[in-house]
Amino acid sequence: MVNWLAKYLTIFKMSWQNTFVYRLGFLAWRLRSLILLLSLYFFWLAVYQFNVSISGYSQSVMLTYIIFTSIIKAVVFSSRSNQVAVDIATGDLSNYLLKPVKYFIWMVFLDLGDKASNLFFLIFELILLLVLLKPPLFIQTSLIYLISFLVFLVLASFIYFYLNLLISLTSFWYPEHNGWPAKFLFSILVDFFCGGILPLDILPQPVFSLLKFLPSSYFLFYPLQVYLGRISGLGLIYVLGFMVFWTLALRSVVNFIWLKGLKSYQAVGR
Amino acid sequence: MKLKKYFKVWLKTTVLSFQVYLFSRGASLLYLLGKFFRFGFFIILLYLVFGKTSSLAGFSLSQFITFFLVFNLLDILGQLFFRGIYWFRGEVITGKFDLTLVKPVNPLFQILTGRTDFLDLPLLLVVIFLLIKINPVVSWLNLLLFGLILGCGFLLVIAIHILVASVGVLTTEVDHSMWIYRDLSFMVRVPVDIYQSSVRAFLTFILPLAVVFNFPAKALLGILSWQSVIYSIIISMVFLRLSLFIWSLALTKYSSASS
Repeated sequence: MVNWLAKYLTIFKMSWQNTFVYRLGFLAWRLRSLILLLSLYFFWLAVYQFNVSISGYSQSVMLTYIIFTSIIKAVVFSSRSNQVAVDIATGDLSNYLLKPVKYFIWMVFLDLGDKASNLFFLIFELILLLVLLKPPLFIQTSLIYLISFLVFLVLASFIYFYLNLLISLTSFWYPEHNGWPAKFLFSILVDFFCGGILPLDILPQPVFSLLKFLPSSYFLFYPLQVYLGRISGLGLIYVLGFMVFWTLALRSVVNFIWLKGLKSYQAVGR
Repeated sequence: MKLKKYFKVWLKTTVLSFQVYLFSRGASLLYLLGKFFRFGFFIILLYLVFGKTSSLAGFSLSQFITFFLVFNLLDILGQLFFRGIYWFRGEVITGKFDLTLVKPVNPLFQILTGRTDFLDLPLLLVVIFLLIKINPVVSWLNLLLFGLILGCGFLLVIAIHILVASVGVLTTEVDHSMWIYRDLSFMVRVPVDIYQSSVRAFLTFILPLAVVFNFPAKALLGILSWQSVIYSIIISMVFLRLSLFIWSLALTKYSSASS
């Protein structure tokens, strides 16, 4: 068990160190995240100059929602599993298949390293932002909500991981452009349907009712609703149930597609 | 004569780009869908946020949509013609840029116009159609002014692309600088007048994205002051000259790595 963990911890370290190899690239990436956050922050700040409340969201709750999207994105969406599509399309997957490691666990630890480095820098950025802008934030004090929020973040990371893998696995049958076209479409759809631009319950009720059943709602929108205390009691259990369902369902589908894909895999380019 | 040669080169690379898109039809379809979804989602956001009030910072919903459409017009034109910039990093780090430099065609021209992105064309047509549909009656003066300010905006777009290419030569970093520009331009999809004065000043005077994307829309709507018209002309000229100067400077630092 210790050996098993040591092996994968090395991968975690590799992922962390990789961040500091391409320092300028990473700094630019963090700058981009900060710019996106500031863009959304100033956009919504401007909107609230002319509105007291939008669909039940006061200014402080909405600005908290926007700032917390950056934290959730750093945790849930920081991922190196995009690499899977490239590995399959270029035939590099063969290298991993020959090694005494589980490919998906390798990817989980790569992801963890990426999440850790992004979160580490985000903390400094947020402190800077809070000191400079002094936004009116909603602070959750209930321990139940805070613990639930953390649990939901972990589950959201797994749902995103499996869904991302699922999209990447299409490279087995469709390796064009190293799987990027599917990723491009996926990222645009997820960005909107996860509630990263606006809270999903602002959308018309029928659309929102439909989105409740999609896994993307659980990446960001529902964990944030829990932090903001907009879901309680039975609602928490309902969200937890859906998140566990999506984690297990996607895991099964990914495993099934992976086995199917391996049968079609031709190691093109090797 | 020179213009004819450059047109021929552009036509040749454009035809080749078109063939690439035709070759990978499935990928092209997915990219196209992504672009339309992204466009549609922002229109939905505008409807949901600004549709509930009759006027916000003095702008109606249809004016907000006009600003967004003009933003798209310039953004798409930049991507349609200058998509080549996204491949420039690869040329610099592999040393293939040497081959670009020795060709008897301006290297900047080769870098920027090397790959025309046809996938932006359908959305461009939709944007133009919607612009005409939302603003059916525009005076000749406003239309003329719109053309002039749009031209200035396009010069600024060219200048920004040249600056990104210069950064690419100096640091081998292109992709992120291009995306930083595109992320920043999120804020000018709506009129900057809704923001605080400091943000507005930053986007107008320090990084003149408001001049690129907002001013043409204001000209079309007939609400652009004459001072802004003059400022737009001057800043576009200055930025273009400055970007060309930085490009020349950057070329002297090119290390021809890996070649």
